[in-house]
Amino acid sequence: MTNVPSARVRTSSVTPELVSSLVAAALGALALVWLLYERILPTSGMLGFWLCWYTAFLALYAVVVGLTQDRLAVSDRIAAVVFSTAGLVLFSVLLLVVGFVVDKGWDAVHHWNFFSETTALIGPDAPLDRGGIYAAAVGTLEQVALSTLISVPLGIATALYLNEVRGHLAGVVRTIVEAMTAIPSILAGLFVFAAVVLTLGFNRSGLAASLALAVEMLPIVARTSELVLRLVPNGLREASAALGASQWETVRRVVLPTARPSLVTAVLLGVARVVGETSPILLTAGFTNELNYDPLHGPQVSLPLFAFTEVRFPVDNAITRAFGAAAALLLLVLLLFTSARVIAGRPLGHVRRRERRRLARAFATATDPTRQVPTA
Amino acid sequence: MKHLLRTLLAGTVAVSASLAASAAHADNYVSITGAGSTWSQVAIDAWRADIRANGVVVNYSGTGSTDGRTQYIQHTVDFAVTEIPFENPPEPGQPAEVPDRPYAYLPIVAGGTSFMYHLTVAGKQVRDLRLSGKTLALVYTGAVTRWNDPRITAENQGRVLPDEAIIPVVRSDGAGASAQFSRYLWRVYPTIWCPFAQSHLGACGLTSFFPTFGNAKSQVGSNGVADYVSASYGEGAIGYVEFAYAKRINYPVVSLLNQAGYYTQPSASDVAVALTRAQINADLTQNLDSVYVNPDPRTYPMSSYSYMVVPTTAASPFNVDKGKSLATFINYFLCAGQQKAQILGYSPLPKNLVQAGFAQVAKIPGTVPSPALSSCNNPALSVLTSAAQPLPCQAATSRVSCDGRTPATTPPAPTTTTSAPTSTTTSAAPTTATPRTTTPGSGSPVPVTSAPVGKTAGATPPAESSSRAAPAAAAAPTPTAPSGGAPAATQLVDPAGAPYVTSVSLAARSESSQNRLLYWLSALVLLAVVVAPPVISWVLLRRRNRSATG
Repeated sequence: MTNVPSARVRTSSVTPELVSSLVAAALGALALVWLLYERILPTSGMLGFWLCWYTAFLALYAVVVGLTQDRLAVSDRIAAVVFSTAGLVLFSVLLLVVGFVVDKGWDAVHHWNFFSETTALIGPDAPLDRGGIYAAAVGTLEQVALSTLISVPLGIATALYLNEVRGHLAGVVRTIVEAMTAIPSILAGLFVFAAVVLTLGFNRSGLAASLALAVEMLPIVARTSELVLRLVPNGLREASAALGASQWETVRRVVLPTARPSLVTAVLLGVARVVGETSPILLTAGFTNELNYDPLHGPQVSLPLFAFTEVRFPVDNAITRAFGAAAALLLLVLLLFTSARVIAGRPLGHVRRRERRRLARAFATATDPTRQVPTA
Repeated sequence: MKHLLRTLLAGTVAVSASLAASAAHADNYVSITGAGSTWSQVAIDAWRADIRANGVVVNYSGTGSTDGRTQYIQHTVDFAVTEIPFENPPEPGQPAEVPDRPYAYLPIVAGGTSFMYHLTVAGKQVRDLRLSGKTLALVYTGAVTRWNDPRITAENQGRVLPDEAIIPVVRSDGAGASAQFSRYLWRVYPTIWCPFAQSHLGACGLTSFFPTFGNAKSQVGSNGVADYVSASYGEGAIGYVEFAYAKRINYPVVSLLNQAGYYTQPSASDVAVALTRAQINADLTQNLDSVYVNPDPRTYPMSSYSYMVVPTTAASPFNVDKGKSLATFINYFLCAGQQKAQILGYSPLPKNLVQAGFAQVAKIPGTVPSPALSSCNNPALSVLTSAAQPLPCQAATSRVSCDGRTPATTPPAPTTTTSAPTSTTTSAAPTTATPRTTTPGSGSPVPVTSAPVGKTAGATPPAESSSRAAPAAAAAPTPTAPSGGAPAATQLVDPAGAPYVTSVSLAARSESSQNRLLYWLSALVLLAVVVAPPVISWVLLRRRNRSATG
């Protein structure tokens, strides 16, 4: 009786047997594939080698495990290996992207002036301890802030129309919003360029870039907000209506407060989407190396545009600066997503229950439907 | 706020750099905006930074020549930079470009279309490929497809290149480089180019969009082409890029055959020499037909320059104040700025083009007078007298290659290898060359001995070859033996100290011994893998059983 459970427990934990069979299969496959793939067969190449190695590794591992275990255990082990490899590959790709950018840009990033100076006075081949991305960072922050100001009220209003008002045009609007998420981002830039710069005669500026980014951001905010609003339980709306609240009051005091943390996530997702966009601003922002605080007049550079411009120069220092700007952008996106997670708190379901309880208590105790909870 | 900041900045710079004279009017300059060529962007960016110290703010965005011209037509920029003039009649499938405000073309910076290639023989990169324009035309129209084609072999002194497919890399985006290359093919080899262009483009002429054909690959941007050619999968590839892109990653570029029968590199001075024959049409567009066939032996034939399109009236968005900024900017880059161009891999404009530029500056409303040629600090003004002559080994008729190999099939002994080019260097004077009777100091063989450094592909990075241009080389105090033969001889030896063939066979031998070791290792590992797991599991099982029972 003691034998059987202990054996079962051991299959799921790390045992010397598991490790040795994994290592042996990996090494064996490596040697075998190297002999076959690189030496005996007329093939060569990195990618093919490692793909063949992985296949051989799985086969060998199955054989090795099959020596001591039954078929069920073999398939279990193989599945475990395949799924952990998939996760590992995904994670290492992410790590590779971040690591590559930071590594290439490190020479620029570790100079303090990279964040405090502009490239106005330096040429592409200037040393890295001069000049930096201050102007681009200012441009990115201003443009993204402006486009958020434009697209968030519009996006949430659209979501409310789709989910709360449910007007006659809801279906059409939803289709349009969905189509907008799929348009290539260069079209957003072309649209603003044609409509604002060419037709209205408005110069290329930070505002034009913000408009292009807002076009890009609007459908994302609208779609995500709509999904979030849909998760607010209908019982709340019905209860609110039963207490005599109008639709507007229900939306303002019940639906939006309930969905608030998730709406913040929706907005941040939209921001994170557009903060690294190059193509919409390529045609609309112009390019300058000057520091321009005024998004209404004159060209304004931003981080993606700066990186895009500098990386094409056949000059080492310019390329390093471009990667430095990309690293700064990555950091910014990371910061945004992290703050999104923090602000949104826990997963949506959890928040919803807590909010529901709080709101239910508020509705039950107070005669006037106020958001404030009297008790701690 | 912005104004204050700019004044402050300009003031600081003026004090620190003691540019008091020019910076006193720093706040008088109005910023100007331009767009266009990515080909010239690095040079413009460098000039922009230099002139910024004087208070002139230039905003330039490298969105491509075609976009630059379009934006000029749309009145959204003050000036545009482009490799080809406004297209009227247009390229097939494109709209005609007719700007409604008057303009002038002004040469800004020159360069040679360079052909970067990736070719490995016996584990060693080929760095001294020589091709004629005709062979390149055949390669880029799909007629020559293998590296061991007899036409390529003939140009490389009988050296047979590997039996690999040639992968011609072209630009997929509308590019000035494509336009410059296709114009050369069109003007010089119409019998090769026109049938190809007719079938792929529907018309015979130059094109910014080089068609893909056969084995060709298309890449976005010069950096895309350079990345493709230099990648591990780029073996056998050849692509046209600006010289700087190849130079940066230390990749060789093709030596191109010129009219005088010499194979030259797209170095700054050879391009400048070629462009001394550039002619300007009545409508101010360039006519490079005589550049392509320039009889000077120092000519790099596929040389060209890019234009700046400047307004000649104060039509919106331009005005007289902007004219002052623009003219100041242009006067700077036509003279001193050309030194920077050379450092960045371009070629400085020769005298005839600088003068043509000055003539156009005068037409800009609100212009400032151009400096006199005597005070113009352009390194290429006297390039015809100062540029170094090609080495005898660069001649098409030479039986000795520039890295000391002879075309004989038997490997030469090291002594003969090194002495052969030395003797030719010292004895045979360049036949077509005018004797270098120039500035004092360069009358000695200094440029000759410094030249092999750049020309010896493989021994040194091609970065050296651009410094071969006149003032730099002449100014460099190179202590040399009067004969000039000895240093040249030492430079011509392979850095490894062994002739080409020997080093390859040595490398091959060490590789095979390494292989044997690896074979043994892998056999051992395989054996261990086959034996170890059953043994380990058997041991583990026995131990578990023993602990369970006992």
